[in-house]
Amino acid sequence: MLQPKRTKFRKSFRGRRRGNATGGESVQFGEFGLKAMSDHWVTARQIEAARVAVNRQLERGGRVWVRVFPDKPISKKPAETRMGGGKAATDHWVVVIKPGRILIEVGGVPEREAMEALRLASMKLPIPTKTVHRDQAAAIMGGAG
Amino acid sequence: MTTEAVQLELEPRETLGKKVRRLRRTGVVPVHLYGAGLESRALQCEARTLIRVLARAGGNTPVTLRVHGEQKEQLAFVREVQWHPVKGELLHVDFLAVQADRPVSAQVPVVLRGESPGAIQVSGMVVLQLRELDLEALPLEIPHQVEVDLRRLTDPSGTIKAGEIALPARVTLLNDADEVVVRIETRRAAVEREAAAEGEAPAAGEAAGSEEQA
Repeated sequence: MLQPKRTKFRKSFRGRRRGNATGGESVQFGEFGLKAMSDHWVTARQIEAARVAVNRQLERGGRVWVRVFPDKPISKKPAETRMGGGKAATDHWVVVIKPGRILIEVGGVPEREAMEALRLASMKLPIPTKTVHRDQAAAIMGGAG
Repeated sequence: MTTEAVQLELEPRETLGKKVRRLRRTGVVPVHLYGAGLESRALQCEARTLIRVLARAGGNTPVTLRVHGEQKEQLAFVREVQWHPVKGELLHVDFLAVQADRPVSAQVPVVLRGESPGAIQVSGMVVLQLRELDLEALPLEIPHQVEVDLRRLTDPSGTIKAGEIALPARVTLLNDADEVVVRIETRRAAVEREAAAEGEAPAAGEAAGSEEQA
């Protein structure tokens, strides 16, 4: 599963999720992408499940790009532990997703296959998503110079 | 070859800063026009008209801009288009003013035409590795798109490089000529299935025999 090799700080605050994605909101590498339509923490396990779902559908053809990386440590106290004693150890890693963020991209496969793969991937994620085509914006923007 | 510029009429904009939100609510998009030797101008245009022009011009077809109430026309390229990340609404458009007699560089999309015999032969997929070519030419001579004929790709391991693509006269390629634009990717699964089928062919016969015995 994805997680940072080393971090500057071991634990992090929860933070707030306000507004929309300000980066990574357009398809950059593949032809089709899965766009988040709401905000959420997405765990490394969910990302991995989505990635595996896409790869299985594509039968190892085409290419898959995971556009998000879980770099936020989430701590969790062990079960049946009394409160106190400070912040617990890191349990898992998440990525903070805001609406509009592209999560996964697929390229080199026909549209029908790509859409089905992304649909299966969305089933593994805790947020509503929509599939987007690179050309939806590119058709209007062309090869922006 | 001369590209026909797309016409667009803009209006001067008084509303600046965060107040442009109100403008967007009324279906008007803020636009900026700037360029070498030109003072940046805040303009506006109806969203519907602007989207139609953007769809026609893209980023590499010049647009002839005329500001309402002014006689002077200005040749410009669409430089940047901002979209709402969730709603997909058009937020803002930048136009870069150019001079018709000065060469400019633009990223021109590559469009594939026909079918590759090489890809059909190996049940592979044609992969467009380089979506856009960097070209330099006079603004009105920049092609809207560059077409690549896939019928040339007869060898399954062959590629089409940037230098091999035919360009109109007076258009210069800025990319490395050896850069691969199109290649054929054999689907690993298909290859594996074929290999497995070949390997299993005699084994399948044996298995059928053993089933009959059972």
